[in-house]
Amino acid sequence: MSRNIDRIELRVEAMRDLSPSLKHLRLVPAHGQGQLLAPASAGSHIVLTLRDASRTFRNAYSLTSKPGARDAYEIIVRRVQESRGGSHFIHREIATGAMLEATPPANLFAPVRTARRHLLIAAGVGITPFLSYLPELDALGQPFELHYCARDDEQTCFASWFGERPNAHIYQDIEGHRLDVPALLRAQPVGTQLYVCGPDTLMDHVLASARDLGWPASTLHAERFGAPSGGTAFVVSLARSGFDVHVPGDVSLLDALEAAGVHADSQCRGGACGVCKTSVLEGCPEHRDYFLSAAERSEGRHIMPCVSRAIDERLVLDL
Amino acid sequence: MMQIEAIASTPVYCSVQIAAALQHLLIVERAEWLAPEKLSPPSDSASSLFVYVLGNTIVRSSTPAQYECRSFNDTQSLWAMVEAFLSQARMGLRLYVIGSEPFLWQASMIATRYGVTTDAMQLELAGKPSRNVYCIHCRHTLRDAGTNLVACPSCGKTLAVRSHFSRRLGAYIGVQADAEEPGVLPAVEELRR
Repeated sequence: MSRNIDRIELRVEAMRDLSPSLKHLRLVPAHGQGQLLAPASAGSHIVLTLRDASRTFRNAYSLTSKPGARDAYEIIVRRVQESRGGSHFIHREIATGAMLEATPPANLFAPVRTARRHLLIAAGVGITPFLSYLPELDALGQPFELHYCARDDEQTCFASWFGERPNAHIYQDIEGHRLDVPALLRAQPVGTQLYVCGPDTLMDHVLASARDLGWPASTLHAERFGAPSGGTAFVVSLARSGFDVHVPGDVSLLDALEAAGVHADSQCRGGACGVCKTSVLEGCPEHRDYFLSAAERSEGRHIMPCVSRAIDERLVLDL
Repeated sequence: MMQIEAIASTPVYCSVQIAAALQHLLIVERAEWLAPEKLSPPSDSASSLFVYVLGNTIVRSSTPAQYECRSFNDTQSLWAMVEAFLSQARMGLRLYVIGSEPFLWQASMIATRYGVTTDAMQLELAGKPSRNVYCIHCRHTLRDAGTNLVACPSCGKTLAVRSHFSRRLGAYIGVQADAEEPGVLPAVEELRR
């Protein structure tokens, strides 16, 4: 089964610096006035295709625009020094007026509308999916708290989203100003749903603390857009296509497949959604995703090409 | 006896087992349905167990488990106390209910209203088969039906009890049994699980 992955064309209408490392982009339909974008729900993201002279990057970005907005999609991009290049490329190469190819919005991180309360925990640029939660939860009239562990340059740059709301708490990485996760979790009334987005260390800490305290699995929600870290180079043999693809150490398996013109379904590109799940015919995958169960991992019959790699020099895939 | 065919909406019940959590509320419809070994919480001594029993009985455990037991003379005061408990409870609460099907779903509906998710609840079925039936014609919910055909006390229609179960209503769907051919009814059979 092939998913219908539509592509949309967007034009960078405006760019502004929120901080030295954070850029805010306003993206509008590429062609003509009066065109409307598909409305997106709170927590949605789009995947941008970014073409460098030598490489193509596909990065997922949360929409920070108001849910339902049809005039523009807004995103915030952090420049990561050791990024795989996409975000660095936006900071360096993209200017107002640039055309970008994107996927339509998808949502792997929607707030649970039947919940009684919501607890949002973010760190760093992980705040972005929650910027669209704020108007949504306000409109639903459901109580929520936002706890944001900000870097030095992020202390004030989201003020225009937070406003004067008393339920937004900002923490600093300074002794006495850090978020005490277990204490926060212990204080939550029954009926709370937990959402977390940020670096893996924070998400793992929050989720592990919640599980230890007996929070049931259905109340825990995490958004992971981790850029795949590299590894050693390997070769994939594509059984159905009948050729080999070389995967360099600093390129993900999915990126390498796409660069070779192989059609591979994908969505989040961070090992979370499971859309790119591919059958392994030979060889051992090195699993780096959050989708496969422990049993599926040890079986080694499937791989998530967006983040996972090969343990040995060669993998044979059913592609 | 007539077995209700299991379909996707048919509830599945379990045997209550105290899980790892901060706080536990165990609600029992009749004291004799509570096996004493259920009251041994996991080794985590920091967690607290509350036992609410309908009927004027105090539950005593054979184990040295620490728990607080309260008994209630009627369902009204029991559910009022459950609501008071849930309105003060924190995340990390697990709910366990042992009782007849209508009792289980009454507890489940109250807990759902307070935002307790289904994976934080364990429902254990006890006692003889008894079902709540929701009349789709007049929207009356009939309590404790024990047969495949029941007369709706509100609109008088003879209802066939369907397998379709509504978690929101805590009841099986009842549809007029002789709608196609008035007066032609299947044989009345007792329900079993």
